[in-house]
Amino acid sequence: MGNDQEREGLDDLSARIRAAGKKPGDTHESIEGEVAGDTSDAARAGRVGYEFVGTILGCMLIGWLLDRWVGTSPWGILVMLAIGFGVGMFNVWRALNGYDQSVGLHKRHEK
Amino acid sequence: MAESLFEEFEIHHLSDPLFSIGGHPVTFTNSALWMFISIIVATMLMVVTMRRQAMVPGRWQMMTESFHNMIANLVRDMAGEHAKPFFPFIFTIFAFIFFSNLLGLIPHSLAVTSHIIVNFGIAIMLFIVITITGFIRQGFHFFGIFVPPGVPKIMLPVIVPIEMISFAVRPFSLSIRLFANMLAGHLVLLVFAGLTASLVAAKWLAGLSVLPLGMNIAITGFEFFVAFIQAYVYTILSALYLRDALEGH
Repeated sequence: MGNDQEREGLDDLSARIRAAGKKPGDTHESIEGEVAGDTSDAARAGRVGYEFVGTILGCMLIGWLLDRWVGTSPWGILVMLAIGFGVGMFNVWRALNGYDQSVGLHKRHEK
Repeated sequence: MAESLFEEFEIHHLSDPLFSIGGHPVTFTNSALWMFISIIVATMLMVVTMRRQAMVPGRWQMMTESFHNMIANLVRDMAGEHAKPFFPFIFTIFAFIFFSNLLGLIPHSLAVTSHIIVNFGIAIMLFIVITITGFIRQGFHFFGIFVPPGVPKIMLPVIVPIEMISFAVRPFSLSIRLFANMLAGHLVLLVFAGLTASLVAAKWLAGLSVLPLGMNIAITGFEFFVAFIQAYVYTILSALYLRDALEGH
């Protein structure tokens, strides 16, 4: 038990050290922010748009292929369209809240 | 006029069927021709400008070196330190897309990146490379990228499928972005060119034709910018996706 607590304490400490080492305006961070294309609101809006449309079209294509293989037309495309809409919305939310584009809920620069 | 708007993007057979895959005859098309040209131009530019590696670089060597440094920095920043072995791969993607975009601006050429299947082909190749690398580097821990840290257990049945789908549709959004930008840019050029031609044909309004002509010149300049930016964005996102495979969580 004590060991576990110690371990937790160490994890916490290393997290704090990492946070302290990463100053705002760190060159790494600023480069990343720039190249991520999110420097302007227009760039961010454009990114969000393609993300949304791309997700929906991609899901529709997957659904269409599913229909062709399994023969469940038109259900595959309809269900995947709905799912794609949901996932697209989620991705838009993620982009607007400053999460990066890798899978998962990472704040940009956190990695 | 309307039918000729898409003439620029049409694919023509330049040879007899060479061989066939699954009953579909494969020919050498103008799309393939322009892909070859962009590969050759990119390769030649790299090889010729770096032939004499002067300590104090000249203009051309400078250009090639700054491209190299830009992509090297990008790969290091976006994909992490472990991504160095993937630099040639990412740089090839960048060079191919950039030169395809640029060569597509030459009149009577074909912008191969304005065909979604070309972009999708690159994206799906990248996707396969990322998945295989992820499994090699992390084994089954690679699936861990679908489980975001800090999400309550009860939410996992909802979040994990969402993550899986957003992972699976990445090639689509990646290729649609490049395709849409290239197609839209070329269509705008074509529309303004058509407007110029129509105004010249209408005799008493011919003076007005300078307006769309000037617009076309400005948009051509802008297209050079778009050609670079879209190649760059494609490369950034490739490197960013690669990070998932290399680092996981």
